[in-house]
Amino acid sequence: MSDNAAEGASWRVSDSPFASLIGTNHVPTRIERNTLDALLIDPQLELSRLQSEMRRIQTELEGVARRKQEVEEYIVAHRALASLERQLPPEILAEVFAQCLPKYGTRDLDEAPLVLTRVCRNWRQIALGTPRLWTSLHVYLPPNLSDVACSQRIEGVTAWLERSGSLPIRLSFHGSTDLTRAHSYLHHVSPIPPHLLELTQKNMASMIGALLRFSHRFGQVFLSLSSANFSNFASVAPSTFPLLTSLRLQAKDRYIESLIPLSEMVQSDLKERSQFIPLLAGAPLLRKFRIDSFFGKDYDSLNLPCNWSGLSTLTIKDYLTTKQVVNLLAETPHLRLVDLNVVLGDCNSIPHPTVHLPYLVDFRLNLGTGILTLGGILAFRDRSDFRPIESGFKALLACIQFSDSLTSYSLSTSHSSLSGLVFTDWPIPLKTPFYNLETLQLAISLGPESMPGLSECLSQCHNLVTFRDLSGQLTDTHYAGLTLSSENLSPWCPKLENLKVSSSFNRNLWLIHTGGGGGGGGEGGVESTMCSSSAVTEFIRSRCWTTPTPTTYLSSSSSSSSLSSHMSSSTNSDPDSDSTSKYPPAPPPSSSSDSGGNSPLNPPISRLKSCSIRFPSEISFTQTEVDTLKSLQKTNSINREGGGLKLRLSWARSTRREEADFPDSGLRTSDPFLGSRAIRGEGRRVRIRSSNGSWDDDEDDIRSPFGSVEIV
Amino acid sequence: MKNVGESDQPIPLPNVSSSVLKKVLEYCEHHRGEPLPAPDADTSQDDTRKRTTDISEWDQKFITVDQEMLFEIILAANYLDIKSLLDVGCKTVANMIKGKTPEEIRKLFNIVNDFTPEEEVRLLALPHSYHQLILSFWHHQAQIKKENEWAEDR
Repeated sequence: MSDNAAEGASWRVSDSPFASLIGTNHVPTRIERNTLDALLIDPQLELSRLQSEMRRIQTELEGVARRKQEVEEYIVAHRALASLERQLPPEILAEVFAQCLPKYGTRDLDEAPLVLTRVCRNWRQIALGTPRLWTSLHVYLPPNLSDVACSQRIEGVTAWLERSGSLPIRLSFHGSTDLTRAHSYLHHVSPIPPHLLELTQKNMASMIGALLRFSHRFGQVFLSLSSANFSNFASVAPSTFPLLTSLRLQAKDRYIESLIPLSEMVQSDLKERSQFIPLLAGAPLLRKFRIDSFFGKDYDSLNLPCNWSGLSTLTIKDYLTTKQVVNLLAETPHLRLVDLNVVLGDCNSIPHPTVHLPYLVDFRLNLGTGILTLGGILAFRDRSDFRPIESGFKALLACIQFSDSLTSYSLSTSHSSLSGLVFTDWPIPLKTPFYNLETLQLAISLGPESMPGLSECLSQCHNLVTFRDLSGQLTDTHYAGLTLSSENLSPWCPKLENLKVSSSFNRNLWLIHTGGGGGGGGEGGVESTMCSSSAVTEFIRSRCWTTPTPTTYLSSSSSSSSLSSHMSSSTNSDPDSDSTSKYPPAPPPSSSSDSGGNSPLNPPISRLKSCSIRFPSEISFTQTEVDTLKSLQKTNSINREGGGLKLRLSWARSTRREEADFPDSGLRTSDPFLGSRAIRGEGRRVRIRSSNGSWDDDEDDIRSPFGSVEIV
Repeated sequence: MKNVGESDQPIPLPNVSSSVLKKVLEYCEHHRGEPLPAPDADTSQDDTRKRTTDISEWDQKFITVDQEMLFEIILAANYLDIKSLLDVGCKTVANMIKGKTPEEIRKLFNIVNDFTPEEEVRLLALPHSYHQLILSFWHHQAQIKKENEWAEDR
């Protein structure tokens, strides 16, 4: 058969003379086999022809593809030449590079600024020639680093800092030589060989010496070292740090103070740390000063030779007596932020002289025991033991006079031994200028008697944006005060955008409030909660209006004509809205005087952006309430350009400690530095997540992004 | 414009296309009346780093454009001396760079790796003496490892 004939032939199996036998187990005869052989000659020829044709086409296709790739590369190469990215002037690239920097620069090849030096020669030249990229550096010096490694590290650190030109330097230096001592003590192993200890100390001295070459340019310094290292630092440091504006000191070995006998370690360490003190006199421009458990309880910080009157930010995590706090604040009239710890047991209720803080913006006060008192921890048997502390704390707060500049206020009780401390009276003087507060954080337990004080405080917070109630104080009364309704046209905190209520702080408080501790107020037994699901839902609904689209819950039955001008016109599109929801039409009188207050873009009642409430025990939301909240979330998500309402309502059972039944319990040696492992109980949780974003919060479990509605 | 003074004459903008100018005007219109940034705003390191993350919602939406337009806006902002817009553009580009390897950055910005192989080896000096560091104990091990990856380029 010719090629043409073969091309035209049919190779369908059904046209074969053997079609009836194909697909069967028929065994062909010799004659049939001969016939089959003859029959396959033409198709085999055709198969060869087709394979040859495919190879030809394949070769041709590959040629075309190569050509296409060449043309593409030609175009891309020329477009790259003309790309706008290359036209960025060096100064703009330098600005972009500056925006890439982390808080502290680390000598990591994969992070800015070093990663920028690895892209191309031009970027490298620009990066190395931009001093401001090299002004910030975090240096870590571990113990037992070899000679060579330490030399390299010092060389690298020096090169980095030299690139910063003449700019002030922001340095974070963490290191330790005493860790070896701690390790041998804690793990009962042979002490580290003397030559290694010597090497470690030598390395530290070398690094300190290298860093101090730049001390005249130190602008912001954070030192986290062992006590002995502070002593080393002081011994070779110059007498002045002319550009130093910010200093933070942290004693690295503070973690082990409670484990190693004080007589062995702490006293000698405190002595070594104190050698650093004279250096403070050489920082005339110091504005920010922070010490973390550095000098201990018995040291009066006022003896430090600081330029106290020049400080704008002061944080002392050593525990101070109330008297020390008052004396300190009297010497620091220019403070804008103060964060202090008051030691338990040294409070006294004797009135202090008034202290004026006219520039203070951020006030944070924490009541605790202080780590050095752990050995002789005070035993509190009942609430009466706390009375002197309570009155002493109140006396302290009463003597501090703030001005209108105060926008952030935080009170907390940190130590677990204080979990029984409940303020019977409202501790914050009502003369405090609450009206300018934008942030209020309370982590103190308030008894039923002090609830009116909290109400009064909230009623004065006209500008409060963020309220964190970390001891779960809010009751139905408070939620009602915060809820905009026809009965409450002027809700408290009209600008509230972020609310966090957490009851994990102090479970004992609930026993008191709910009758378990005899405090009264509860109706439903020991575990009943102080607020109801309906009060919470109503509050959230009233604060989740949207603009300019009509909201779902501002009822059209509202009688006031000013509703539309105040909070946008509305129609009720929420299927869950019922006639019992009475939301007000009128703006709060306090806000309506604002000439721009009626603009939808500048509403006097702010929309809630995040709300996280953790109830102390299980609370039953009805299905309608859950649906309502979901509906609010959906409406807010749709009507807003990003953000949305972040809402989390949860309750959890108490945590258990590590003594629980782990597979490796009894086998594993617990590491005192890692802390005990906590297991979260099987708490039930209603979690409603909405829109994109994350919680601006320090709790990991709610830091995850929000992308969907979820009820757990 | 301050340098031009009051005039009815058209102001030539040869370096700014009409589509880009439209975007720039949209930005200026939205931010009309806002105070200008302080001249020394960039000198504070804290501020510089804080600003990296705080692009407002509106600005973020505004600057969500294709890469070519982004760079055109940056160049126009630079040419027209609109510092706040330039700042938004630079932050956006910085956010594109963060977390990327050098190769990914090159690909993103049409950059050719023009380092010689010898230079690259020098830039990527190997980690030094890890075994020495094993002696150190408990925490910070990840930090130690990270910081001993010799980052220096000598």
